[in-house]
Amino acid sequence: MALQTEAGERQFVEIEFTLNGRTQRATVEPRELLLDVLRNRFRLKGTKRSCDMQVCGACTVLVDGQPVSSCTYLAFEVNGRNVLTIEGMARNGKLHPLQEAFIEHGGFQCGFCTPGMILAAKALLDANPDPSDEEIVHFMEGNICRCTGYKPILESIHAAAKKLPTAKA
Amino acid sequence: MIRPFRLEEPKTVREAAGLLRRHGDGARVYAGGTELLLAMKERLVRCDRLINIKKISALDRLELEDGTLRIGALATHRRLEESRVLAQCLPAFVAMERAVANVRVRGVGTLGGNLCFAEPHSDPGTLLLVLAATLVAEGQDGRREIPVENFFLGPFETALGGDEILTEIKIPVPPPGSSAAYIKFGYLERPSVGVALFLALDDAAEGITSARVAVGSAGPQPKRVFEAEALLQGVGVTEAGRRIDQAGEAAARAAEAVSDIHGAADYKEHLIRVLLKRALARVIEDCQKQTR
Amino acid sequence: MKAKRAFTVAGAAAPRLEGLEKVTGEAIYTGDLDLPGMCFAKVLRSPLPHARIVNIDARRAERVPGCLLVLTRNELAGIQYVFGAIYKDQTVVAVDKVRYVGDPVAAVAAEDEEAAEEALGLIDVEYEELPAVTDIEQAIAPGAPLVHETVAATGELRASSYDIPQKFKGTNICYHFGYSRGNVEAAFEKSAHVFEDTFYFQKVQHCSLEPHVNIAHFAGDKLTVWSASQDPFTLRENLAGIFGLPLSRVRVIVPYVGGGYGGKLYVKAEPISAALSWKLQRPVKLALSMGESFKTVTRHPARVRIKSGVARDGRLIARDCEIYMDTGAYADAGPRVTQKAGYRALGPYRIPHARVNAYCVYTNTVPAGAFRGFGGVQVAWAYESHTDAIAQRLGIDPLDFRLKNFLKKGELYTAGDTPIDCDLKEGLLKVAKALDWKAPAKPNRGKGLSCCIKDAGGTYKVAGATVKMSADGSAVLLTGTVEIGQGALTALSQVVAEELGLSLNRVSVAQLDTDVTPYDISTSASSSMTVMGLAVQRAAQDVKRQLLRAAANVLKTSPKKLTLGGGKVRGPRGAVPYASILTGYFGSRAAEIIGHGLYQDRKSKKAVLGSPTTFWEVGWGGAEVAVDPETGVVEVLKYFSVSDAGKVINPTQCIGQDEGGILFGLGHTLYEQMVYEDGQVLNPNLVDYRVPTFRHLPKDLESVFLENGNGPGPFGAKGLGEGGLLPVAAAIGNAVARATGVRIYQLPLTPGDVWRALSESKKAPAGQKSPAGWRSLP
Repeated sequence: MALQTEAGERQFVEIEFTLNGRTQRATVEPRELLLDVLRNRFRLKGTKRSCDMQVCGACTVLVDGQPVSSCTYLAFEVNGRNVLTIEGMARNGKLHPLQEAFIEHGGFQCGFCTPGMILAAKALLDANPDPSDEEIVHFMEGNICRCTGYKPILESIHAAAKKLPTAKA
Repeated sequence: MIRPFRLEEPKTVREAAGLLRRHGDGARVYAGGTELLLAMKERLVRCDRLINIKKISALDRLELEDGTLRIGALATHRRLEESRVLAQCLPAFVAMERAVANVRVRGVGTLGGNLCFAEPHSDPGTLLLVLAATLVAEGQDGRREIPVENFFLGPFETALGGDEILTEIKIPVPPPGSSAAYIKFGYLERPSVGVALFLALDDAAEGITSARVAVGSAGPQPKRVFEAEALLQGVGVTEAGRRIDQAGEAAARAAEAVSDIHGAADYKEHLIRVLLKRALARVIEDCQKQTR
Repeated sequence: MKAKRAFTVAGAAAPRLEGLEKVTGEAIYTGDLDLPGMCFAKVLRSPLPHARIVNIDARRAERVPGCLLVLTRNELAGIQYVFGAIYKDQTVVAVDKVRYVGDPVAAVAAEDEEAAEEALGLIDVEYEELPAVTDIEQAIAPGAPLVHETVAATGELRASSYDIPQKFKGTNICYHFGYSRGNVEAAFEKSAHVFEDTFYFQKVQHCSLEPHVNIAHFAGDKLTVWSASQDPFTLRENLAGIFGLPLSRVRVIVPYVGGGYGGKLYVKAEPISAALSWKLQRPVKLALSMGESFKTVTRHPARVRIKSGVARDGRLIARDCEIYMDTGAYADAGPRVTQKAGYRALGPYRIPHARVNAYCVYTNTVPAGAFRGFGGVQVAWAYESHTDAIAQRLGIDPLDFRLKNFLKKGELYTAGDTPIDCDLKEGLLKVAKALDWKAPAKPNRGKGLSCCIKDAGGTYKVAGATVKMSADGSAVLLTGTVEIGQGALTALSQVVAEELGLSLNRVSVAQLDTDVTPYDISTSASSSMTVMGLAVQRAAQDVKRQLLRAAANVLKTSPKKLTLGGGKVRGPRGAVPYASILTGYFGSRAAEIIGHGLYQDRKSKKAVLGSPTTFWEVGWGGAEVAVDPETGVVEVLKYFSVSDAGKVINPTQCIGQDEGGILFGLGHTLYEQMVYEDGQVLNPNLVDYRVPTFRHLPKDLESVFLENGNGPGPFGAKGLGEGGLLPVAAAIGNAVARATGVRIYQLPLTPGDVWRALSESKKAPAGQKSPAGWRSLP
């Protein structure tokens, strides 16, 4: 990462990072938020702005596998890191088991919280392939859904856990 | 949208302190950013220069050294929540960290950042008060240790000097036969009331040899409650049970509870009494488990 | 007895039509759209609850680089800038006064959001502060400051006209609904017991995760608006009115909507962006923040006083209800919500002598409008709490008291309305069984029941639908129902697939566009499965008739000998794919069959609301709670819900609607409230305003459905979506009362308020424990 100052006041930073499996470069101002860079620069509109205060989780993306609120995360910090958004969840046209499970079990309605919800659930399952209800609640309680009442999401995560290759027989 | 600022990326604490001294009030230290960026987005704080200290090495250490836990200021809540060393030496601290905000905030937010921001509705400071923690600050003129009791001066206000950076949190590992608990209460995103208790019991696990009590979130800043400690120290556990209401009164007074969106002051005072009583039961049980 | 119809698609837990888009991030919401030449709008909002605008000076703002236009009251010449859902009491931006903290004062359009924000900060507004009223008590006090000195307060909406009665002119009351039957006073005289309770409901917000957002684009005299709206045709009408355009010159397109719950009905922020675009002739995007959504629309706070007379044998014989609904600074849907609250206040009981007076009141707070339950939530909290309170005072089991007083299937709620269309006992007994009702609860635990009914499907609704079958036999549905998450597109497609003998993957739904989509009055009132469902079914049946005729022609037989199934026309000589029929009939692949369907409620002078209800939406709920007497924390251990679905078209979506409604209810029952101090909302954000999270999901939550084919919709379906929500507050409140012996009359039951109620009841001398305001004859 190189700090650059242009002739005027404004400062720019060159960053290079992996975004959904591809190396990307961008020149950003230090103040730019990851959410805006993803949505406006990279046209990845799946990441949503909602509460803007790190409470609701609609803007969740994974940075090096960990969920972050991209609405309150400076974009320059992803330099050298690996960013996963909802657009990178399906591989070679095949849905991730979580995506399949959310469809099958009605894990969403309006869909606005869904990208963040699925990414947070992925981070959980990557660390804990067979979580209990309480472990799911502990990990996911910062992702708000106003439609489903949560129960179908809980069921979706359990169902996906069973389908994951790492799941116990 | 955040107003433009200059990003500085010092490599050493000394360099960071120099930047702070040079740029004064407009400079902000960037540790985790979970609180600071919110305030900057809302334009509640001025920031012309963001001093990113995340690239300074060794500020995220987490190690046990000569009976003292040394936690770098940049250790994230999530790292502390998942630390095995901490789980062994200070399970109450892990339990407290586990319940801070949500997983995203814990993954980015740091213990040092939390303490320095001094948001009154917060957990770690209150618990650190009963763990006899020492905070290490470093400025251009050198390094000093601040007992945590002297650290919080008010809402969003700490004892750090203008060019000082919090580098480390030192917590003595509690001796066998002792235990701590932090119980918080709230139904909004942030805690309404937090109560922390540390007790050390004698070998028979019947007498309290040392007691520390702290309250937080209810008032302007987390506070030790010496009056409550004096009531509990040097008495048997049964007597402590009898005195706990009185200790709770003292804690409720000390909290300087305010009526706000988190609850009325009298309710918060009541909660402090209830939570202290619950903490006492929990801590004594835990101490006695250790000796059994 | 008629043979039960075998369904292939209707009733199946079909995955959502738009599921793939929504789990991959490809689903497009209004905020995701970027248009060529698009600029960005921001709104300057009033910092004061009530003030006269002395002067607005935008000159400094206009000089900000990138600022294109500042819209103030000085820029409104040439448009009908006054609008409103029912009363025309709202202006695009403030003209004479600001009436609540958050009232739009001015708006800026700029090349980017940052320039817009900077310009906002440079608009100089001089205010002359006025005394404000921020709750019902203040607003109805004699001599209270007036929120509106004059209002053009007449409106017509769906067979009802709304007006301020003469005697309330010059007060803050902007609408009154009255209803009475029998002789209430005489019946109270004759009653063995008379009980009176007053309940309060707080101000809550929808908290759709997608805040209000729209893009308006004027090109010449054609206005196109993309909006997160659940009410595109009403929006079109209002915009046409503001800009003096024919309806055909206003086009509203609705991408996916990130949650509605009523908050995106009627007109919200669209006039602002449209006015900016009218001047600029460029697309203008206005994306509100969550905080601004809090300052756009809320649910009505309410004060509901109910007085009931009960005969010696426990039968309800008289009731008097007085309801005040706080509609905030602008009426929005307030008069209608008030009318519905008043109409629904009697609950599911047979009460021969009844009187209701409901008043809609202006205050200097955020406007209150439509919100899932539409007045029913507030009065259901009151009447079902009141039901338990009566039973408790009489020493009758609340279950038995309800069973004794329920309206029977076929009985009239009011004369002229649709008779009650289900067995109310059936659902309640299911709940009681699930809760093991008669088993005693453990200490500090309690169980509570609630049963609520709601005239549903909207009043005097109209819906049209079109189904197009293409040459390959696949079908496209055009419907004005907005997919706000409820799963309507999937369920409606299931109706089409069922009627046309198609698999669901051969049916798709067109993007909602008022230029081409048939007219529909709003996605609201749990109406999509009945009102729109019937329009869709009829459109599909129209296609079916044409297809059968074409098939008869091609196959040289009579349509009566043919049936549809599996994408094929089946006749005496085997099955022929639709594609072959269509190409055969039209003589080429240039073929299409278009079917239309229409549904319209009927008007009736005898019906209190001007039109009999489409169906009765009924929800039964049972809760078991644990109350921590030391902290006041209420934990919902179990919640069991029963809803009358008539016929479940899609079980996954039905359960989703019900359980989602229950968690919604849990929110306003236990946590949610907008707190006002000195006219300011203290918590317009999700840090300080608690909506339910995973943590609040009851360990034991179940919802089941009655399916007796008793609905008016396709295949006997009723509508869903609000029934599950209605009983929640009272079921929990009743459980808390039974756990603690203390009844709380005000929502939400936050820990602090429960603790205070418990402490105060301990302090009260034994003789004063009974609530005031009730008497029993010796």
